[in-house]
Amino acid sequence: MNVPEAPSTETVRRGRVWFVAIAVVGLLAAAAWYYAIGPAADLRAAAAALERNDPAAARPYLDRRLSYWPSDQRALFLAARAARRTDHYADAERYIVRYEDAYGSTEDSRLEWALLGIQQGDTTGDANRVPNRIDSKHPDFPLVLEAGAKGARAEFLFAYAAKLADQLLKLVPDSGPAHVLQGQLLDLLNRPEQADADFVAAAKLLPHDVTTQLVFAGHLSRAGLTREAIAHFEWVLEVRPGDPDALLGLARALTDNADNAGAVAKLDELLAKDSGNADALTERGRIALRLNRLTEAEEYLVRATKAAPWHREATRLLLLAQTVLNQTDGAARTAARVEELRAEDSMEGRLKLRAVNGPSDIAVRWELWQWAVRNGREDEGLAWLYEIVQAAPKNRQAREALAAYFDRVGQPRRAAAQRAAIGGS
Amino acid sequence: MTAPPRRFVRFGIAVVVLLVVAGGLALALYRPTHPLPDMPPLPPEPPEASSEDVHRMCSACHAYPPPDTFPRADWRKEVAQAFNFFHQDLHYRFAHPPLESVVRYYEARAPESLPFVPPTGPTTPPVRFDKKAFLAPNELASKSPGVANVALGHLFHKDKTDVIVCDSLNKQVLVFKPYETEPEWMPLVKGLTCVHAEVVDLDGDGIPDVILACIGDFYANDHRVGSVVWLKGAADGSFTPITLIDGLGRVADVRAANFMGSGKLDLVVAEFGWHVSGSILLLENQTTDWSHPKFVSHVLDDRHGTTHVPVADMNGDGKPDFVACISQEHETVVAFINEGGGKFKKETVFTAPQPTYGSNGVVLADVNNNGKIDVVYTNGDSLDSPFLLRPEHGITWLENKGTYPFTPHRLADCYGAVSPVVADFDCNGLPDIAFVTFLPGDLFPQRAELKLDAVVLLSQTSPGKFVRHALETVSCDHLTCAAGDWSGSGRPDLVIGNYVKGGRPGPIVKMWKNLGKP
Repeated sequence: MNVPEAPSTETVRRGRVWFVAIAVVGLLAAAAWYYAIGPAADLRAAAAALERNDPAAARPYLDRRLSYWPSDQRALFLAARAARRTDHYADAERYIVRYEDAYGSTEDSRLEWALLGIQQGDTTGDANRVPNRIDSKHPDFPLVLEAGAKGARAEFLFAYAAKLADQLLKLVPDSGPAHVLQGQLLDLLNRPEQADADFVAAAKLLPHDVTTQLVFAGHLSRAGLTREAIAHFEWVLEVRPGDPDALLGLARALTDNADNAGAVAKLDELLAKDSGNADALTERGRIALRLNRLTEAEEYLVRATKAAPWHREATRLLLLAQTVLNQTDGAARTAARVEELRAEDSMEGRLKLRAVNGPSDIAVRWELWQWAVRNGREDEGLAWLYEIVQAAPKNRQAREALAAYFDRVGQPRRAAAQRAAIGGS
Repeated sequence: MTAPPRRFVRFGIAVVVLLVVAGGLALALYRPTHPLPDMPPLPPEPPEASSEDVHRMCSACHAYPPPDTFPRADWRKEVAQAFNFFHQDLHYRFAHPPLESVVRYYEARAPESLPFVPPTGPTTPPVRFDKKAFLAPNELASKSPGVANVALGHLFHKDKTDVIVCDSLNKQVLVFKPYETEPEWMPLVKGLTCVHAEVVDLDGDGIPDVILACIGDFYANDHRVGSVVWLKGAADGSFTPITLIDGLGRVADVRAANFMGSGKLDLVVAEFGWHVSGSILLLENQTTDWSHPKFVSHVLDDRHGTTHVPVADMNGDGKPDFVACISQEHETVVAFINEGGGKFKKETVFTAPQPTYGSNGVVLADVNNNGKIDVVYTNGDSLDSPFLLRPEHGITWLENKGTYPFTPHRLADCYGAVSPVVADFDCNGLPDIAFVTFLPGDLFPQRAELKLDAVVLLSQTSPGKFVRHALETVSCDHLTCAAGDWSGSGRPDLVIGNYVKGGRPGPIVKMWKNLGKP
């Protein structure tokens, strides 16, 4: 039997030196990767994603770049842009603020701030004007068109928004976000057949973008391509488990597919996380009604109307359930509520006609804002507030309402800008 | 040059290997997102729905739509829309087949395309017209016209006929005085999107007023932007708009009659709405002080989609009745027989064979001179997508033989038929029928190549026998026409409104003076 010879002291020492040397080199390499090469690659990847109009793909790269280099100027700027282009306005504002806190106001940051305002429908104030240098030949001009189209949509000027989106698509025919936007606008304009081509193009251009695929799934569902819609919703849920819009959309598609049990399971999954989701409660009630489970339907619809007292569909279905159940008192109360909501709708119609015929009627626009808040349509109401401050930039009521709204949605700087416009701090 | 010591070579190799391994690992692990999953497989394709299931489901809301009413490629959208309505209407509660299986049912039976109905072709009309077109006044002349209604009435002189024009695109109601040497336009009201005007003396002060049906928004939606406006006439020829009711769904028509027997004019309102809003209303006139008119609303029918509510004494009992053309999925014509006290008995005059028939107009007249009021009905609504030339479009005489439903006589198949009027144009003692067509050029560009009818005369040559003549082709931009002796010739003339959305500026109306037989 051969006994291996014990290594000499010198060999052991040399081995240790080797080990330490390799470890040091490895650590240096890893550090270089994590703090220089990788983040640089992230920045390049993010810029490339934005360049090819895939802002959603840019965001994770930028998040990581900023986690290592929180004050990276370029990364902050791109992060603001990517967040804005994916409609994450609070994030966009946060990045712009961080950028300007670190580097001061630059042409880039001022443009991004202006585009953020425009995109949200806020065209008031000098800070929300696109600099003159961005003419139609400027490389950022498509971004101006994109923000303008989204802003016009926020102001419910759908035809004008579609015109801008059309102009944008002529300049950048392979822009996925532009196709999504145009598809949504054509849907809003009751032209679903024309919207189809845009949704298909967007889904092809951005096959890995979850939001685009979710929008596409909704379109498929509305177009009667139920099976394809179900597959797309399921894909979205694999990537983004528990997404409420995907769960609701999938439940509706499954209902179309006569799979009520499947739809109920998805709605219950959604309600387990968000028990006050009025749309999910209404759908749950609707399915129970369809299956003639009237008591169950009534329970869900009561919950829906408590969660959202303005919910027309929930109230209407509740009245039906209570009527069929012979719940005389409950039905009478709900019938009265239906009438109240109808009166609200009538008031909306009257106010809108007054607004159309009185372009400078501030009082009616304020009433429309209040109506929108009362009826769960605050986002729509913002458009009326903007019309007020366009006509009367010093209108305190509207400015304060806008400031309060932006505080609520995590945009303190825009809130402050609204207060500053009326001399507040 | 000496070779490097072996230990440096080994070190170098080790570093390279380490970097390669570390780099590989970094590449594999250092990704901001995980690999995305593949698209899951489609759910299994369900078998075709049974005819029984399809009939049961469709009939829950409306008449069964036969598969040949749409080309194969359009059925999926139609079924999807039907499912949407079905999910909203839970008065019928039963399990339904999968949407896909219903699509398969229809696609298996539908034609590739709809059959073509040829236009009239050349004929010699029995009457000549002196055709003149008039531009709108002032700034409106530079805009494309959007006339939804033309009406004739005596606004300023008992013996002279004025033309009232509702331009819903430009939100104006105008009056034209064709009897003046140099006829001029006068705006009656601005800022209202109106689709029907009727001259009446609502307050009984001896001065003609105008009652307006204000749709609020011409394009289909459920917003409650509809209203009824009274243009109160004054002795000096001016008119003051007074809103009698608002906050309604989109209002398509309003007519005045003493329905309640109180001696005052009540109003019947066609609240078209769209999918959710909409009904037929009786506005009971309870006014005691005309500086504060009071009309109390009663719902007579809660169906949406009513386009017209012309008034006549259908049963000869001396009380005014009215006939409603109820479109959308209902596609029916209903007589509301006045039983007094605000009560009406509904009698179905006609029900279309399918729910996309396109009902869009009725006019009441004794077509065959037998002393009974008949209904002339058009179904040519071309504004629902998909925008197709639909072979069922046309005009039907619903003959009143004293029982309900009336007896239908198809008079002409014609794409986009709308706004029938009845008058003895050729002065042969038998009422003729004219109508116009609406097939907007941006949606129906083929109208030029196919030379589709734009204005049609159905000349009654012997009782119940009609000969068709195209008085104009191609320019199918008409939603409305009116017949009456505006020229003072003793013969019925025509007024035709133009609606050219997004088009070039052009005449707002065409005034066709009846010159009699050729």
